[in-house]
Amino acid sequence: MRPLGSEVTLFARMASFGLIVGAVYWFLTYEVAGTVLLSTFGFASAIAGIAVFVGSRRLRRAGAAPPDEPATPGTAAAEPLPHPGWAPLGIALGLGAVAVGAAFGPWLAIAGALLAIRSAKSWLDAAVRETDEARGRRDPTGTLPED
Amino acid sequence: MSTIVAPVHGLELPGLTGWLTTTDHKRIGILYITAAFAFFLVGGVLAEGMRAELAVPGIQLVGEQGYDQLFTMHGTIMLLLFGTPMAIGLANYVVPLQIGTDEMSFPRVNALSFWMFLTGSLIVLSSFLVQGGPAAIGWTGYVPLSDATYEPGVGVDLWIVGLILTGLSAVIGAVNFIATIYGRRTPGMTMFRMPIFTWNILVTALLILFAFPVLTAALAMLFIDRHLGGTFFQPALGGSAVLWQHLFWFFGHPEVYILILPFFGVITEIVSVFSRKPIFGYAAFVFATIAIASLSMSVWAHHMFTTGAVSNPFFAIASFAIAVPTGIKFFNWIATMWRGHLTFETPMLWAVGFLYLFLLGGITGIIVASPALDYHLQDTYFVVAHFHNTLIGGSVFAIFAGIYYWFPKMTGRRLSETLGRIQFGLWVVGFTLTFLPQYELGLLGMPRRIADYASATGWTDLNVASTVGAVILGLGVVPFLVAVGEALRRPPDQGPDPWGGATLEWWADSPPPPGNFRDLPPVRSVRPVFDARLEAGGGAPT
Repeated sequence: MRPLGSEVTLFARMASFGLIVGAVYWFLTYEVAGTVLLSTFGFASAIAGIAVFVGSRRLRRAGAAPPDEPATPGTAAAEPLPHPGWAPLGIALGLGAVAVGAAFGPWLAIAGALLAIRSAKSWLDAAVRETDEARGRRDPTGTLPED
Repeated sequence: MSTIVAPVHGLELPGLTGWLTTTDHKRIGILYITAAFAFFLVGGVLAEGMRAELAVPGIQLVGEQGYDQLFTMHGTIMLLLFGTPMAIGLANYVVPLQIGTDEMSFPRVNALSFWMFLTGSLIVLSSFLVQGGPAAIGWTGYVPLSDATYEPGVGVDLWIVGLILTGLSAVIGAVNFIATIYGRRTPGMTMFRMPIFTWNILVTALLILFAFPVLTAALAMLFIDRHLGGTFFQPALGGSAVLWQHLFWFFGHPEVYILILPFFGVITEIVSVFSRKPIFGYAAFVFATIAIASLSMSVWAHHMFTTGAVSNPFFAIASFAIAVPTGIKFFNWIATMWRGHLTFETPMLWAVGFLYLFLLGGITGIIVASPALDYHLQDTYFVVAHFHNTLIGGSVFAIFAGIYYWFPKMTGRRLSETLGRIQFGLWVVGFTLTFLPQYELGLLGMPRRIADYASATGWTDLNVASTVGAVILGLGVVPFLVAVGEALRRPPDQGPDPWGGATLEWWADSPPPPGNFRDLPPVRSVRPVFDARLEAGGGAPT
């Protein structure tokens, strides 16, 4: 059986730590908040470790080279990267307005939510367009994806 | 040598639009670093205001409420708007280069993370403009001080919602780093061939992932208590004020390590390069980092010894235990330098300054981790001196080390050695003069977070010395700003590897082009660039 990768063992160690220390903490103190926090840290690490383990198994089955293979001269497949766009800035400003709206009033929160939703749609559109470009279904243009 | 296939890159737009719309990890890294440094200057001005107020007995400048606001915003800015984002900024620029990839896993999410951080930070700072001014609750925001009864002003609300945004930004940034380091390493770059800086960023990202959501949840609960009738932290209504302290410090103590682990990585890289030696005890470094991070999740209540509501032996033992992996790192740094061909360019000077000053911070940390001593020192200036010893002597010295070290990579230009040495000298003298007197003030019983003291206490001379030191520290920033301005006016003249580095970022052009690498050397060890140079007959620079 192939040993677990370093990526998985890192999470496994953290999960063991959180769960063991959480248990020790409970029996020493019977204090609820700290026990919940430590145990949650342990469980969350375990879930993340399982997710990484399952993901890396899928990658191996798909024939993608696992990163822990012995060194080979570097070749990397071409892949598309996102075009510049206003969507991240728009979403951040929208969320900022929502946050400030919590302090000053709902009108600001509503305006912020609309801006965030509009920007999120731009993000989605751009992602779809770039995927199409990568598959050769569409020519790249020089304009912003949101334009 | 092998050529990688050039990836398909998006367009880079010119001018300001290019910076506002970018998804390039290098530009986002520079945006983080610039914004964080600007916040550092703001936080520094607030600190100078505090030291001016405390220089002599009496209320001179800001009054007690103003003083409370100064230390609240100073702490918040330095820890959450400067230290953490500066680490994220350096990591943004360097990590993809160190693992031989062209971009982060989620470039657009990376941009979102930065803009959310900036928006949240500006919301926090905007509280200076509202009626009543910013929060005056300490960066720890303890209840009942932060509840609506004692702090009804909107400044606290802006502090809460701004920090929620920056917290969310940090979490999605952490996910991006973990995905990038796990999924985008160049072939041959196994986990145990990764540079130590990248390892430390990975562990830091995991800490962020587990610690920041707790802060975000606690802040949301506080907001609910303040405005929506919640009773989470109100003992009279069935809540618990100590619960806030548990939640805050379950975030707050890992946060201290979020602020130092990336910079342990910076120092490790620099010590190795300027000693012309491989890192001594690579695996020990990695496991020490993991051990520090894990233990940091179990020491939160050493900030609460004097509440009487926590198990002091449990948290004291866990806190003492952190000294072991930290000590391993110190011995490994010294062993790396031992019999090396040491040179003391500016990055190495800062690294040596870090070793000296952070050690003092670590040792005094062991003192306050002892409950018997902590009962005497709790909330005195001894604690203030201790954490500034770790966070300035540790993090800030390492930040300057990292900026001097990677500035040629980012811009193709080196910062002035002369100005760097002047800055370093001013900071060592200024730091020592500011904070050593504060240890003595703490032992004499001077409480933190007071705007005034009686002249009969005998604290005046030490406070004057501390204030003079703070002025020297402030002046010490000037040579750095001049050096950056002067360097940016020069045309780029640095090659890929001005220091004789061994990790992959030193293979790329300075500054790296879109896509980062024209080609990559095979990765067969933790020092692929050194290996390639050796194969080409170059060997290590001496």
